[in-house]
Amino acid sequence: MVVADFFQYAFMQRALIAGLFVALSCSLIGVFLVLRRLALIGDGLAHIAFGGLALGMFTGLPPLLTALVTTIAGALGIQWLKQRKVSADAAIAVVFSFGLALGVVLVSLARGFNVDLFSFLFGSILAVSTADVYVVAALGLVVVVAVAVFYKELLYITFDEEAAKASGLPIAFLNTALMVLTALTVIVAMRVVGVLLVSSFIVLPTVTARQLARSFRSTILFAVIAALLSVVFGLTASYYLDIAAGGAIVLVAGFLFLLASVVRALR
Amino acid sequence: MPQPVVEFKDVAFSYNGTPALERVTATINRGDYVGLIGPNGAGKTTLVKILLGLLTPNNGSIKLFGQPLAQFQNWHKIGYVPQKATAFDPQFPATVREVVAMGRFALAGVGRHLGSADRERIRQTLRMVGLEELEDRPIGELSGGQQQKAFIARALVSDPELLILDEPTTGVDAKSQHEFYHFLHGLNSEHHLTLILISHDTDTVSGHVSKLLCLNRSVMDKGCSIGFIDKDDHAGHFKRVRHRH
Repeated sequence: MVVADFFQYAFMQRALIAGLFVALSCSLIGVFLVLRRLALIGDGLAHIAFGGLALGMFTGLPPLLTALVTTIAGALGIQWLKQRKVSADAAIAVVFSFGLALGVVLVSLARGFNVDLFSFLFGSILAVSTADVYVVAALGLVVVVAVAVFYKELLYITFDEEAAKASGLPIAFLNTALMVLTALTVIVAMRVVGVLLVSSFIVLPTVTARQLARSFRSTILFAVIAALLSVVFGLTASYYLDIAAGGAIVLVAGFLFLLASVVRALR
Repeated sequence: MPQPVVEFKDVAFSYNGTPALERVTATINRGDYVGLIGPNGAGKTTLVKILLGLLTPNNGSIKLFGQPLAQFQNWHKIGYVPQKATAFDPQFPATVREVVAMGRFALAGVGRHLGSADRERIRQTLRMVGLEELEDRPIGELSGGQQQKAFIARALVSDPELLILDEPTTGVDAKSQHEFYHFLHGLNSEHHLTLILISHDTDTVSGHVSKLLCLNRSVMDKGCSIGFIDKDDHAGHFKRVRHRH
């Protein structure tokens, strides 16, 4: 009954499908990012995307293109800084300060901000269009295939990058691929569901999974399940309680983390 | 006829202008059990990282299995057990089996999954180091000695011909250490593995290895300590070590 009600509305169907794909993409790569101490990369890249969008609007180039290019550059910049004695958290801070400053300066040069800029940054899951659903579904497919193909290599560089390199794995390629994939995920998902959901889906499912999982494989499985459950329960709650959908999903994700912590403590 | 496995010729390396290694020339042959020893900061780990291609020397050349380092592709022939303390996060969610399997990844090829032959080799290696009962346990739940065994298994699972261990007995109790040296002796004598054991503890290591390579920025041909000098049987090795001052 509950589910039937829920599906009456096309916008809710789109929200559910888009949310599930974004949850899947972000939680899958989130496992690798969180374990590499890059948990805040979602927020960091969102800021550089803001700079990239402003650059597009200022120069007249397509904003999506400039945002994509600057976000990938920012992700690779984080990787580059990490190799130069800058810790991961500081590297993210450097890149996001720079991105935000670039955006602010360009917006001030353009004398005032553009509404488009903000709708791009703070997408809403309830306003997802059919085209958006296809875009995030394609993203989900790309992320799933990439993680399935490079699963063992990504695991090794996440666990012990130096030993992975010594064993002959192409570390530079794998790091670059993970960063490009992250940038792509953040920018595509952010436009559809907003920064809050993207950064939450990168971090919360993994920390929840780590409470319960005893292997790497189960960490990935539990993280994806936690992310998908957050979308289903969060949207249901937002529909029945008439509360903000994005916020409700993140609160459910946070609640699942608490639940997993309690289960761990009782075990 | 000795078959060289590792050849260092005139290798120099500096960290931001501070020399860490100078004029290092040494050869390690097939079947050698070498103790690479020297005080802290002598450049032992640096030398090994150069050998593994993790650092690029400022000068000199390195050959692995007769091939210049730049052309060397068969990295599975070299097993590396890094210094444990710096190597991993004890909270990392991976089982012992998952960690050991990593040693097989490069051999399987990028983008390919492990097959049944790989899984069988992983099982055998876990049995060999005595961890088969603990294979499903998270790596962080094991004792220091057991973790060490897991990392050795990860290095051994690719069927290497050369095994390099960096300060492997740090944080391992005396009884496990004894067992550990016995195990290494077996690898060298029965499995014909070439071993390089890095240590700052000359006295302990010199009792187990068959050759000592003493490093303090350069190779010291006069030996490292009293414990070394009376090991006459190694003099031949050091006569072969070219040294220019």
